[in-house]
Amino acid sequence: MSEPIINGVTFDEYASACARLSQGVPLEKITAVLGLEIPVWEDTISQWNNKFGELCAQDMAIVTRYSDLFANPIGGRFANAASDTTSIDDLLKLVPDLNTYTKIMWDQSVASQHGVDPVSVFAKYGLNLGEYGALTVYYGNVRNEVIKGPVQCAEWFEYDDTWKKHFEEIYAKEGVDLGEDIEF
Amino acid sequence: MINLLKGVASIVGGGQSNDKAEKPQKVDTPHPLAVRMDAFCAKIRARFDESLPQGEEAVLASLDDNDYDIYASLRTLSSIVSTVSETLVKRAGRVWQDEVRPQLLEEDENNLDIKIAHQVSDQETGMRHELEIWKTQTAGKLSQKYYDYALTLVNKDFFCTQCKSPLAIKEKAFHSQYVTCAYCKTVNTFIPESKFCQAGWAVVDDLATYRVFDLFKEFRRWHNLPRRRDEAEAAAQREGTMKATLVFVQAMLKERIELMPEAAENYDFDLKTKMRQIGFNENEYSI
Repeated sequence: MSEPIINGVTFDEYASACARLSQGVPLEKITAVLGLEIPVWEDTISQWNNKFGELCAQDMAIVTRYSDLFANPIGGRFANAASDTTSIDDLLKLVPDLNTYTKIMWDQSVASQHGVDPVSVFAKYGLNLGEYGALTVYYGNVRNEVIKGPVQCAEWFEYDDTWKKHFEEIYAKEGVDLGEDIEF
Repeated sequence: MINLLKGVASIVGGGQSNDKAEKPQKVDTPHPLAVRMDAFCAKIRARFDESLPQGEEAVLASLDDNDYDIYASLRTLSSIVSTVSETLVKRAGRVWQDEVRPQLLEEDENNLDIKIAHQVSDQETGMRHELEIWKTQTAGKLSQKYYDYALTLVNKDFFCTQCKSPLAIKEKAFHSQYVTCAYCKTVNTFIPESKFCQAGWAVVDDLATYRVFDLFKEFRRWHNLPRRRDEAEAAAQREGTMKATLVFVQAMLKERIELMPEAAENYDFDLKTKMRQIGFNENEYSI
């Protein structure tokens, strides 16, 4: 079966465009590469979002492909587009291992629960939302390998739990205790 | 409020009939720790009841304070939920685990009555469910406020770039539009401001849910029921849960169409997607 194309935009271009937007590339640059005006772009993204849902229901392999393109957004006409995004090699200089990624992941996760904008958390580590997304894809694959080995898996569980508790304590101290004056 | 004293006749040594015969005073007299725990839980519950209306007020006011930044207000809501959960809902459970249970075990490690634990747990579960309902209700009220504001942002004085005739734009379409002039047939591009567009993806679902709030509560009630172990009862429970879910999702999506008429095009797809997200495949229900 041939791949769907919506308003001239392929799946690879859709995924690459989403990744670039999330890394802060201006919409004008995206639409210029695709040769679309804003209303057509909005219609395209809306239709692709629905189509992506349908494709996921048919075969989850499409998610892997989307993830790969999210980490390396050079699908279709974006292959020759200016390199507006940070390469995964450069991102790995900032976040060199799963332990560091796990730390950032828990920092933003717990921060969000406490009303902190996760974008400001990413900025602390020199990242933007899209770059964090690309790292999530990369370290998702790393983690899938890690959990196959009992020793590495146990290590990962340990620092995953450590970082979770670490940030829960930090943000709890910064927050309000509504029952502070109620003593047992 | 849950009365922790009710049914707590004996905390230590009161679980077996032989012990009861030997220690009759413990059957009738609540353990001092149970009395303290009861009073403590009552205060927590009262603070919980006071906090939710204040929280709602803070969330709704935040939209005025942040110049209608809906995402910031949703983070405020999330923060309040987290704070109430951590500092009130889970508090009695922590006190039981860290203080009461060790003391009871120290008194008699072989005969720990866990009625207190059950009652604390019941109160915690009840407050957790209420907090979930409160969150949905508050998100709905917040969404209503934002939605009303967003509709005021539509530029109703939109004119043709060629002949200056007034153009009719689709009011509740939260995206850019091509608008063909009825007089000179020029195609104009209408690009609304981003705060208007955000209404289409940030608040419509929450507002639609709020508009069918009783159905939402019924849907959550079914989902929160303790799981039946008996096979036939479990099947009946799943059937009931599915029906309540379907009724809620259908009503919610119809309200969504009222708020954003273009959603009608995707009704069937959205229904299947939503049901699947909740845990029901197409072969389990008929529309």
